[in-house]
Amino acid sequence: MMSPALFLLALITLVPFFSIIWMSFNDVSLMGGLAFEFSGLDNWQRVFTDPDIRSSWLISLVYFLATVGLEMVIGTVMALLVYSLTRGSNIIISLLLIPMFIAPVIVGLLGRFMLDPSHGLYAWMLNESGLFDGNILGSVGSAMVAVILMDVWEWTPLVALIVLAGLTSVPEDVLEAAEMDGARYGQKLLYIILPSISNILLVALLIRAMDAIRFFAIIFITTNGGPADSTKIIPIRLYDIAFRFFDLGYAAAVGITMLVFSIMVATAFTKLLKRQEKAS
Amino acid sequence: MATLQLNNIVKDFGGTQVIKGVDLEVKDREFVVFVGPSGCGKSTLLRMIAGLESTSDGDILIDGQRINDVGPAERGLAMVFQSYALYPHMTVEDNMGFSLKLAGVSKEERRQKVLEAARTLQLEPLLDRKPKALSGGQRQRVAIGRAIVRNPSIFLFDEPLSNLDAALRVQMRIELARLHDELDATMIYVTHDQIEAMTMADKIVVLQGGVVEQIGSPMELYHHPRNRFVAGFIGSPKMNFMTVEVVDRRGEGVTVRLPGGGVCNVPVGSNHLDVGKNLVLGIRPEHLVLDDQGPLVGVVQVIERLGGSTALYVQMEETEVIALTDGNTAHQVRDKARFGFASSRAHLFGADGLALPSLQRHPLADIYRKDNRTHTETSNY
Repeated sequence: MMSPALFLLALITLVPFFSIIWMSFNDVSLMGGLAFEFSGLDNWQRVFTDPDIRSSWLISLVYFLATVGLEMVIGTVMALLVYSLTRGSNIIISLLLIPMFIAPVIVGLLGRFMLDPSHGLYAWMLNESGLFDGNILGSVGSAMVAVILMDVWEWTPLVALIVLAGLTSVPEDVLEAAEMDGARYGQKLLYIILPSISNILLVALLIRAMDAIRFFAIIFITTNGGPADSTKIIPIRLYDIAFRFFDLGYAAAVGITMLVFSIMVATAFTKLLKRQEKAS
Repeated sequence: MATLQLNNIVKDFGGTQVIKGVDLEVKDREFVVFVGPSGCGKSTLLRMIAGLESTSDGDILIDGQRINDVGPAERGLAMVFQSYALYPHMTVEDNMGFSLKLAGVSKEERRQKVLEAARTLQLEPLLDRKPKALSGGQRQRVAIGRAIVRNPSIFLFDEPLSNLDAALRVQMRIELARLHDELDATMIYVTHDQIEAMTMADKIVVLQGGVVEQIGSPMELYHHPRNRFVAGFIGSPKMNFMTVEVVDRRGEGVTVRLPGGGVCNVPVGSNHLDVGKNLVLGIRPEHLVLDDQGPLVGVVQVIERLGGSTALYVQMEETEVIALTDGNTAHQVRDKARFGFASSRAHLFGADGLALPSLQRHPLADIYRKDNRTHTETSNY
C-alpha cells in the first residue's frame, strides 16, 4: 500500500542524499560532461583544515548568536508589550507581522537601497547625525551589524508571535494569585510568566536556530560575504565553493557538515524540551 | 483579626452596573458567605474586596481604614481561587512559601512557617511534589495552605469546593469550618451552593442581580426570609408557592383561602391589607405533611424515593407542589393525596415579593454556627 509513496520519497530525498555523500569522496568536474574522480578523504581533510572554512564557521557563530539572541529578547519584550494592551492588540499584531511576510531577498534589496552611500535614507541619517560616515555595507564591522539588524527586523515578529501564543496560555488566576502574594510585575515575569512559557521559548529558539544555520538570502543580496569575507557565513562560503569555483566534491563535504551540525542542534533542543516536560 | 465594611459599593463594567450599591459589615472572626445564583455579582464583590477589581463607587474599609486605592498585596488578605491557581512549576513548599519569599523572609523562617501550615492541613508528605502530582483535594489544601502561610487579616474563598466531587466536598466543608475555629480568622466565602452557605456561615449574604436581598444567620434566612427570592433560594427542595386570597384580616394574623377552597390563618402582620386581595403563600416541602383531613389536595405526578425521605411532586390545580414526606410513604403515581401544614410554618408574600412580617420569631433564628460547635474545640472532630 505504502510502497509507491515510499518509492517517491526515496527518489526525491534518499537518492540526492546518497549521491551527495558519494560526491564528497570524489573530485567532481562539470567540464566536458559530469565526471567523478575518486579522491578518498581529500575533501574531508580539507573541510577540517581549511582556514577559510574555520573563519566562516566563526562568522556564522557570531551571526547566529547575535541574530537569534536579539530576536529572542526583542521578540519576547514585544510579545509582553502587546499582551499587556487592553485594546487594539489585533491591529498592532498585524502591523508587527508585516516584515515576516516580505521575502528575504526583498529585505536585502530594501536594506541595500536604504544603506546606499549616495542616496540611502539610513546612510544619510547616520551621516547627518555623525554616528557613522562611509559605506555601511562596504566596511568591515558595519556590514556585519547591518546584515544582523536586517535579519532581526525580519524575524523578530515570528518570535513575538510564538511567545504571544505562549503568553495566552498562562492562566489569569495564577497571575492574580501571584499578585495577591505580593509579586510586582518584574517578579511575576521572573517567577511565573517566564517559567510557564519556557517550553514555547525553546520552540521559538529551535525554529530560529535552524533557520539561522542555513541563512543565505539577505547576505547574498547585500554584501555577498564581503567586505574582505567579513560576512561570509558558512552557506555563502558553500555557494562560492560550489558555484564560483565549481569544486562540487568539496562543496558536498561542506554541505554535509552543515547538515550534521543542524541535526545536532535540533537533537539538543528536543532533548532539552523533553527534559523540561518531564520536570514540570 | 480584622473587620470589613462595605459602604454603598458599586461596580460598573462599561456602563452595566453589576454591583448596585452593597452595604455590609463583617465582624472580627466572622464567617460570612456570599451566596446567589450565577451572575449575581458575588464573585465580583469578592474580587473587589481582594483588590483584583477596581471599585467604581463607594468605600471598602478594613479595620476602619479605607483601602480602595491600596493594591491587592498590601491589603493583607489571602484568597483561595476556584481553580486553586497553584504555580504549576513550583513544588508544594515553594507554592506555599512564595509570598514569604517575595517579602524577603529568610529561608529557614520560610520553611518553618510552611511546615507549620502543612501540619495543620496534613500536607507534610507532599511538600516536594508539584501540583500536577496532586489530587483535587490535595491541591485544594495546598491553596488553603498558601493562604494560611500569609497570615492574612481576612481569608477570601471563591467557590473553593466546586471542582471537588460530592464526598470530598462534604469532607472539605467540615475541614474548613474546623479551620475557621482553629485559626480564629475573619473569612469571606463565595458559593452558589446554599448547603455550603447554610452549614458554614455565621452570616449569609444573599445576592441577586448585584443587590443584597438579605443578610442574616442561616436559621434566620430559613425561617424569616425577607422576600420570595430568598425564600426560594434557601432550602432544598425549593419552597412551594401558591396564590391565595385574603378572606379575613381581623384579629391575629391573616386568614386566606387556599387553592381548593380550604381556609387557613397565617400568623403574620396584616398592615393595610384588603379582603379579596391576592397574596402568595409559601410553604416548604418538608413542612407539608400527608393528612387525610388537610386543606390541600392534588394528584401525585412523580415520586422520588430517597430512602430516608420521599419527594412527592403533586399537581394542585394550576401549581405543582413538592412535598418531602417520610421514607415509608406508600403513595403511588396518579394517587390523590391530601396535605396539611402548621400555619406557623407558612409564609405570605405581597405583590411586591416582600414577606409579611411574622408575628413570632422562630426560637432558632438567632442561633449561630459557633453555638453548634462549642464542643469541637476540645475534640478533633
